[in-house]
Amino acid sequence: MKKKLVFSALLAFTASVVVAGIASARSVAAVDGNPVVGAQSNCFNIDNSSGAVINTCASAEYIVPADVDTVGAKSIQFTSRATAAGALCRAVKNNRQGTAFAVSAVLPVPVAAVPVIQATGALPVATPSDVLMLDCSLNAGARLHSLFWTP
Amino acid sequence: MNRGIIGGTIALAVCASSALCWYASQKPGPAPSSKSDEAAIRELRREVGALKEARATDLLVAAQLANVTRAQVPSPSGPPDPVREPIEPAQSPALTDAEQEQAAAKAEAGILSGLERAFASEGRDGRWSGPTANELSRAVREALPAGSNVSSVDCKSRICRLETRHENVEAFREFNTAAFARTGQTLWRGAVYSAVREQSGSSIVALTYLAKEGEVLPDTAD
Repeated sequence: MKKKLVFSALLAFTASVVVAGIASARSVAAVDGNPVVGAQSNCFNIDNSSGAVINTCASAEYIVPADVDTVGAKSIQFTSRATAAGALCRAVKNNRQGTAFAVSAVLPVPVAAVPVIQATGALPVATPSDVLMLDCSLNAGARLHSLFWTP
Repeated sequence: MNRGIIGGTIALAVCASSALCWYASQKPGPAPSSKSDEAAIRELRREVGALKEARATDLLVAAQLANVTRAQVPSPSGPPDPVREPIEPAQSPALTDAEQEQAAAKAEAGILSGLERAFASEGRDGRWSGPTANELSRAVREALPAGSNVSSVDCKSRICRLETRHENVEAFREFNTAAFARTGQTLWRGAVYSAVREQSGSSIVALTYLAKEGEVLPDTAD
């Protein structure tokens, strides 16, 4: 009986912790981002049903800001897929003065029929005013769907 | 037995209340809920697209400019985006800008110190360190703006350390943009941390730590 009680309490505590963790996360659709180069604005189509962006040019860069509220090591999860190898994404961080810059390792966007979730390496955020973003170099047909991170 | 049932009931109640809190805190996703919503969203996205076209600039470069704030990052002009609701920063609002900048500078100095310690304690892999340092040195010299130079390049087994001198902060930003800021053209595919270590009137010294591909830089942010 005691075992049941302890087990129940443990289960409740674990569930609370998990739920609290999920609640603190944030997500945006890729449509919230921007082409890096102004001239490449017309390269991106938007899938209105999902908020995904699809590159129609041979190669174009796209970034999505991931605003932060707290300091610490921050990673960005993102959902993407490509029709051919060569598309890349990574996280980029800078401070307001442009004097502390960091990038995570480059991750290839997978060639897949359905979007795949990947996580960038964590970057050190020193202050909530730091700028964190996902930066992707997308080849033709590559799609960026959404971002998910703990602000 | 009754105590077991009571315990289970309490557990379920806690789970249910947690789930309700979580549900209440969730933001609606991007998927439209009806056809009229979908049409409205389509229209708004068209407007956003037009605005973006007008404002499209190199945000990676913009992020390196001194006065960039999160508020300046272009955002859709449509209905208030629940994901972008202003949230109080973790730091106390009583802190002045100068105090916040001081705290940030201290944290950044801590990150550099942590990376320095990690690099100093790392063993050397002769097969990787020599060729990598040579290649890195060559590539970095090509990316440096006029007036900047490489003071030292050293690689060990998982991390390389690069020390550069620049005439001013703008030259340092220019270097980072040319060397690392563009994902498709970066000269290093692994993780990078690059920051100003010293600033004097006539020059600045910057340190850049580069992790071997497949490795991570030590977490020194906390």
